[in-house]
Amino acid sequence: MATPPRSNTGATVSRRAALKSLAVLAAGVGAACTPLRMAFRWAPGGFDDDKALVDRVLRGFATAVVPGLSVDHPNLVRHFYDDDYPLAKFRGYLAADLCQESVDRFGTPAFDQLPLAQRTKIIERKLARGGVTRRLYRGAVYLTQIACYAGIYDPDQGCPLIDFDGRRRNPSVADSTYPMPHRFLSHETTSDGNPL
Amino acid sequence: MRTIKTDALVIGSGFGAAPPALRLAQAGFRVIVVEQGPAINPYTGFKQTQDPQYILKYLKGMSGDGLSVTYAEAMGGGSGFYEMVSLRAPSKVFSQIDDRGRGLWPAGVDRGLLDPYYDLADEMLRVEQIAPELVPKSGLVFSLMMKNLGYSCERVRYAVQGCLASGFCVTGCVYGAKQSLLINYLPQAVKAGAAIETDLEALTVHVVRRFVKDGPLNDIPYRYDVYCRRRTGRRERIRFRTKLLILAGGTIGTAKLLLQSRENLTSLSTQVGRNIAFNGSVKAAALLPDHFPDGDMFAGRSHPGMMSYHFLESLGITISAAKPLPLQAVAAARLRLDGDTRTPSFWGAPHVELMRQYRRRMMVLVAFGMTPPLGVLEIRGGLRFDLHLKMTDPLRRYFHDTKRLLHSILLRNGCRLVDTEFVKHDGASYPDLHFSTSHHVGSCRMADSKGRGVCNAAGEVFSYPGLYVSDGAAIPTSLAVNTSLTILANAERITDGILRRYRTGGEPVSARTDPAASLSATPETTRYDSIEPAVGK
Repeated sequence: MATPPRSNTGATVSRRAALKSLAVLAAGVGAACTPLRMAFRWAPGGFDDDKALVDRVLRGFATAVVPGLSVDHPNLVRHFYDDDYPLAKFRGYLAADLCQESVDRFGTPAFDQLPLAQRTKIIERKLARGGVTRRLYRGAVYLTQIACYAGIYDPDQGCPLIDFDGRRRNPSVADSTYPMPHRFLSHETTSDGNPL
Repeated sequence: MRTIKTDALVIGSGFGAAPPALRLAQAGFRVIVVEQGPAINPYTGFKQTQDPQYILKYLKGMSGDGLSVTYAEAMGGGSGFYEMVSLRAPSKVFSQIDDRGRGLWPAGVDRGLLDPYYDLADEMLRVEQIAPELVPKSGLVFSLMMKNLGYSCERVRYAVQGCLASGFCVTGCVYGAKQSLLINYLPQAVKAGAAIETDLEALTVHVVRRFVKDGPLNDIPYRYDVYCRRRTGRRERIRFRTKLLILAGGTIGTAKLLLQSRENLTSLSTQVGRNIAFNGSVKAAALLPDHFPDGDMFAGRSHPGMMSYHFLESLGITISAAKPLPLQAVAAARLRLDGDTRTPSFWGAPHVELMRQYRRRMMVLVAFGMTPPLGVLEIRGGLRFDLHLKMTDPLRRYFHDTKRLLHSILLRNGCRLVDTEFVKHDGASYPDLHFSTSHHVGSCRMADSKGRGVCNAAGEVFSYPGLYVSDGAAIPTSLAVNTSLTILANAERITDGILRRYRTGGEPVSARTDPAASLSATPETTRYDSIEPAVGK
């Protein structure tokens, strides 16, 4: 049986774990635009430890993607913490990346404090990049839109912003149609609705 | 691994599976139904939600170059989640030809042959044309647009009783109004003795005895083994040994199973997985002009109730209004107002402005057409599959001409067009023309010869007596209308043929059963334990 390779800390590393690490490295190097720090989900310490900071930045992101949403809405960024969705693993990286871009573009790390137009510019700039960065931001935009418009964490509430009232408590046929429907109907060519 | 013997094994529990499950059980056959999706109680299992976690539990997708398909994996197949539109295929559909001028349907299979079976399907699903006073607002507004242009428009037929217009048809009707297979065929099949097993995936088909003299069921030996694996718990494996094997796991599911079994079924047609038709779905969206009344994307049944056959004869297409839901689909469409050059285009303030108008002021038109069956499903080693569409110049022309017609209808009514750009699951847009559909059929189509299809007009797989395909996979062409009723009617016809060939007694196939009588039984109660008695039957 082959001897398991050892890590530089002396701990035994399984062959599977070693292969997995190599695969991640290869993927990172192979895709020229892939930031290795993202491949390893690395983010500056502040973003690993300061949950409030990450939350504030992500709220700034979500309200730029869907302007009009309340920044205090309890479910606004829940999709970034939901392990059922792939972005949960990258929220720290995403927040750090937004703040870094904020520094580079506008001289402040406080992405969430920037006006909407500047936050929008930053996200646009990220979406214009190639490779994994664009995929990450596209995914984050898409998932934020889904979560907000579809009201996925509050089926009763829906999304008041777009007049989606969520679960129907008392559906009514009368509310779903117009009186005197014949005003609208065109001539029919079949006797029962089936094509001939 | 246990072995369970049965007379008829039905793979799948949707529109293609329900008739053989019910009719064969009524005729006294031992019937086992194997469904790889989960069980669902039609009275308590559905939710009014747009939560992807709920939706993706039952609805699956597959995507490749040029084509994306959506299908259900659940007991009852797509019947729990479809829009209930139940229309017969136009007569013109059955005369479609291939590029060498040969008919795509087997000789003799046409609307006239199917009509008695459509009658039966209509009766079972209690299909009725929607009354004018029930047509949802979006359907009425669409009809008004067609009326303005002098085009005809029909009220559609639905499998629903006592609809409350909640607008959540596609996440499953929580009121039990939708006449899904879960409240008619399947519980009646259970009552007649069929056993339904869920969360069990058919992996491969093997031949036990191939060259046997055909005859009544009692006189023929077991002919096929199907190896299955439980998808839950201990991943138990079970071998079913059956005299008749009926594949009805859907256009994708049936083709996958046969492709996975090819090394065991060496005489199988090379056409397995090919010839997938996709109903040529083309969509266009626009904002209504101020003088038009509101539509409503969120209230009223999910399909807006109206469809135009005005261009069926001339262009081979039908046109209807659509209410694209769930909202994830809308987010994936990347709506953008035509001519709006602001950036960002598909998110941010411009997108919110459009989404605010989505419910009341947006009109979405969908055309279904008789596009050629050019989709292909291929196995790529192991259990990996690849779906793609052979894009041709005529197909591109069809898409652009049809889109132009839809735009013309919208523009001549004063609408402002909304661009849509459909994106992949990772948010990237498709690089080329892309069709998406839930009306895919034909991966194991019926044909007059093995060189052109997988099964004959009776649904029996060429070179494999007793092995049938009875679902959408057998349907050779696009239908230009929703496909469910035709799949159901054709499955009734194929089952009728099976019974004529193998019946040893029991009720005749034409025996009608009161659908209401099924309401007391729900198939969810049938678990693996209840299959055991069937084995010793």
